[in-house]
Amino acid sequence: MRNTQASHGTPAADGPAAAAEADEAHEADAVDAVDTVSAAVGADGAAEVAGVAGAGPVGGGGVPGGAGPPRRRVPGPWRTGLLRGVIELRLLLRNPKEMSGHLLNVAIALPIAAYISGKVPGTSTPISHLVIAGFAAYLLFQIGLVTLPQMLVTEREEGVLLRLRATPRGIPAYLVAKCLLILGMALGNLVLLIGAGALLVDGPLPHGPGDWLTLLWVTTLGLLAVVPLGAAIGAVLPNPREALALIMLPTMGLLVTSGAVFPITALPTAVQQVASAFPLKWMAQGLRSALLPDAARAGEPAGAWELPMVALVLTGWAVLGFLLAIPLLRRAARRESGSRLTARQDKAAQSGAAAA
Amino acid sequence: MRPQPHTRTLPASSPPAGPSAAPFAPADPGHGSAGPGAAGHPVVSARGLTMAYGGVDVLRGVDLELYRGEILALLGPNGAGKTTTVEILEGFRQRSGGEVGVLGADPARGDDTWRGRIGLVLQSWRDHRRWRVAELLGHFATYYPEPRDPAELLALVGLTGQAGQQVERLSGGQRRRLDVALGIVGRPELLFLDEPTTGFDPEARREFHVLVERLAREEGVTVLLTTHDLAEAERLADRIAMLVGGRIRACGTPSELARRAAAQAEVRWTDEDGTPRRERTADPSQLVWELHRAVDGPIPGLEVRRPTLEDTYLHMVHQEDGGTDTAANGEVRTV
Repeated sequence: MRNTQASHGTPAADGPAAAAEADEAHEADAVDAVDTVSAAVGADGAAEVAGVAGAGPVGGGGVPGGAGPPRRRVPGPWRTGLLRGVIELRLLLRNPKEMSGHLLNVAIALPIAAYISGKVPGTSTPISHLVIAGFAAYLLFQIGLVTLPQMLVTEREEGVLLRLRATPRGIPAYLVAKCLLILGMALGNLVLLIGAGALLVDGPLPHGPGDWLTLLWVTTLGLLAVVPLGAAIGAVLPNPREALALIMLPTMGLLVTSGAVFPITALPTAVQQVASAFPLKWMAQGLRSALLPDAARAGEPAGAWELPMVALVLTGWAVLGFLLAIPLLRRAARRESGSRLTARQDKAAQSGAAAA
Repeated sequence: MRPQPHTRTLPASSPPAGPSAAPFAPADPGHGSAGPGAAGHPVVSARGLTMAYGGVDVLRGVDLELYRGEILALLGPNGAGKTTTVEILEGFRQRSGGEVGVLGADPARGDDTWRGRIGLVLQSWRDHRRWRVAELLGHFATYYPEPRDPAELLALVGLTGQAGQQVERLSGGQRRRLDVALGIVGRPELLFLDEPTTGFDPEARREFHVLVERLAREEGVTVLLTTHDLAEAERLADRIAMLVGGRIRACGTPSELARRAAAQAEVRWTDEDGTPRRERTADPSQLVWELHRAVDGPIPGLEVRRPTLEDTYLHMVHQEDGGTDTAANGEVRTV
């Protein structure tokens, strides 16, 4: 096909040339490469057999699908990554244990919202609405900073990262897949919580396009603030067992102090100030502005939604997260090797906590 | 003696038996023809490869060459630097010094195209446990420009019946066979096998050996095997390299190694009193002849045992360590 080198000589001559060619052409022709791959792995197995059956060990034409010189282009990471993400989402849906973990959040939030009565101080907004908006923010926060790091650490320990490191463009594809998975989880959780809240416990919904827009950007920016950060944390945490303990405590602390589930004005000022440094408070505030009526802003500490500040703080965390995540993930991937994997697994086995 | 891999390539007219032969046709015809100088360019070459961790020299100048279609077994006691050597060649570790070329590139700077020409089968993979077998293999096929057909590959490694099963439900041997399938799904030109048959039952091991031989003989895949199983090394490898104390101490066919190690044959017989006798000698023929002359007739219970690879191996390890490394010897004996 058009994207190939005609033939291969000696390894010495072939390697660098093929490499250079692949690199220069990769971006432009990613789609082309993708098409070729789908032809090769698609339902066209018979063609592949036909293509290769006639060729002896020294013969020509081992190309699936028939004519043309062999292709050497390594497929780009987008298609493989998205495919991988879809499979991972499907695995999540098929996994009752993990699914129940996600459903549990909603199952906790809804009864609280249903039982709690009263108004947000200084407003006519039911406090249950504040609770649901807060839980929505917390779900995003948790996906980025608890679920993601745990997933990364576990998969690193099992050798997923090494497997992908040993695969051409495997690590970029892995990251693409994780982004898709996280996005799927976040949207699923939000829709479930807000939808079920509105249906079952008279929960809040955005009023008008402006609110929907706010919901969209706060969700997006909130994810950007926590996901890279979570990836960075996942890249440095030692193992899945310690990871959970290390992450959960600060997360729970922030859940309580960020005003996510009860009005922040009830807390001492110092605590409020500490919580203001972290993204959860701002995610919750942004989501409240989208979900609660405008009059409810009277219940905010500043008496306003402070959306510019929400955007600013979340953007700041997003930038910080990316700055940390890129080198740390690169380092984590670079450090993967068979012997390190074995060493970690031996250690895990010794501590009697080997993954089941 | 440098092996000439092309002479071992099966002619096109003698395809292997069995319906699963098709996936073994070459992906890369350009490499298949014995072009001038093709054998002159090693697929893997290391010269003076050194590695030091925190002041300790793990590798002290490893010289190693692998040619296309060759199976080389890297043997050595634990801590001799096998893993380090292999991980440098795989591009997973930076070396301290020396020249290394793998498929025409420096593994420390290998790009994705280079990576796609290499296959890996490690012993510690437990990844993708919740994926289904066929799903996983099918997915990893999409990373490569010319993957094998996943269904045929599953048949090849005997996992067709497990295609829809979750990876974590596979037995140890099945899991490893899946790892092998994943290692070759991209039609690698170079395959690294790290203790590939640990935990295999004899039948699975034999099937695995046949598979690896077919890859090398029919497709020209170059294989670097690290193992503690000396019988496996002897069965599979064209050449065996012994890495002891951070250097390749010997490299060659098992008989060449035996010669180099000056390991001695053992002659056993029963003497006139009916006492079993045994004697070690470098020249068993001479000893037997002398026995015949002494007895002047048939010798009861005569047996000549050539040095096994194990004898050679232990001999070399002992030579290196002055016979002190009993731990390593003990470990090898138990293989």
